[in-house]
Amino acid sequence: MQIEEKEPILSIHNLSVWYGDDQILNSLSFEVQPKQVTALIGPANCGKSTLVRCFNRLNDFTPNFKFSGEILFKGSDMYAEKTDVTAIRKKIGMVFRKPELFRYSIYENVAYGARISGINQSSQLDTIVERTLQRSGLWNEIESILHGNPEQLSIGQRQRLCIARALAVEPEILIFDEPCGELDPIETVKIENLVRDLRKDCTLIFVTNKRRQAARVSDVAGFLYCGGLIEFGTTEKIFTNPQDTRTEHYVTGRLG
Amino acid sequence: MLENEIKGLQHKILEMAGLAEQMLRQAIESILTRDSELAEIVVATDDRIDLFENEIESSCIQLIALHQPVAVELRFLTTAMKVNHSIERIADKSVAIAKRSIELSELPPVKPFVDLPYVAQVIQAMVKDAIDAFVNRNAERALEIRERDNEVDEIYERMLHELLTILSEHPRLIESGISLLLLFRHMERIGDLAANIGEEVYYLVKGDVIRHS
Repeated sequence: MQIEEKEPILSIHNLSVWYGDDQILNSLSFEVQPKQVTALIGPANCGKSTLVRCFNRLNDFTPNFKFSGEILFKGSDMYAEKTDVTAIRKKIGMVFRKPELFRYSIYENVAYGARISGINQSSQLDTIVERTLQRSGLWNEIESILHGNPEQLSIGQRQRLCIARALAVEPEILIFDEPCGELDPIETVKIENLVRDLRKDCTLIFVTNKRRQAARVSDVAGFLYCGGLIEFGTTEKIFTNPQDTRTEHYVTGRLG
Repeated sequence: MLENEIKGLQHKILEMAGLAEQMLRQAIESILTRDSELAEIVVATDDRIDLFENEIESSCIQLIALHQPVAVELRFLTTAMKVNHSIERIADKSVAIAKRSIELSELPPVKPFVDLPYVAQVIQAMVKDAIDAFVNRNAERALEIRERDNEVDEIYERMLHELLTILSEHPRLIESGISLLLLFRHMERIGDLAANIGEEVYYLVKGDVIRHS
């Protein structure tokens, strides 16, 4: 498939990041197209997580974080002074490797985002919770224990609950940072299928150090190595005919 | 390691190609010298080619299943499967030539072989170069083969014409004529198969499909 030339939802121009004196990312530029799955692949410590944490300004909390370059979300500078950071984080959700849930019921975990956005009517919340759990493929499995403690869920179910929680506020972009790192192969397939489904109405960025997983889930892939973006292109191209020798070595398992 | 497995597989393909080249050489020699015994040897060698073909195909499938290759390794294995098939076809065509050669040795000659030794030389060189290009991952050489195939096609057309003229004047030669016609056809097909290998090698090296272009 070709990279479709729509208006990019995210544009990254010459992004460099430092933690103190350590340079983590070195002048990256690429664009994320809407309603596609963009995978970011690369060996451990190549800067993948640092990069995606810039996309919803999570690095703001990291001491000694410095950056140069720019990130445009639908054309506006995400790091401009007037940017409403909370609004950005609502539009750009994130799912992490470990499914960390709030110490509330399953229902409240999903309703949380909607509540803090000012929705309090219970019928409205019920609708949001059901619809979101349906989308994340969890509804049939947990309908009967909705008000129970999420601790009783399997780790894969908890991860899908985290995805439901992120989806409840209708994000435009959802970032997955190694979401299957803790999961068994069966749960992993469920998450991968979910990611493929979600791109119908959401843009997805998928960080993984599992090459084959990137090949399975993504439309477009970028290979990061030592803080640089070595190659960016359609997943088909990256996995059948990569142009850079380092990408070739990484995808064939000789590097990393 | 997949890398070592691939080296082993390539070696096997090379062995098979060597055998197919030998069959082609012997088949052609058997026509020129009217040596039906040599032709029989070619026919008998075909079983070995079939064994090679099955063995190579199984290895490719096994390596794809077990290693789930990507990038150049994936391209190598898909190319190897096609090259394997083309070599088997070349051997098949050599057997067909050998069978015609046995027939022709018992029939009166239509005319002296003028173009045949030349075409034989060209297609043998094409097959050899196609295999060399595969082994050495040489895209340029692979492309050249395609161009030489055009020359073979032209000579084939010319021979066809010439044969028709002779046969219309000498109907008693029809049986030898048809045999010779089929023989030319098999040789022309070998040229096509060498060109196909060239196209697959181009894909292996460059990642671009040039077939049908």
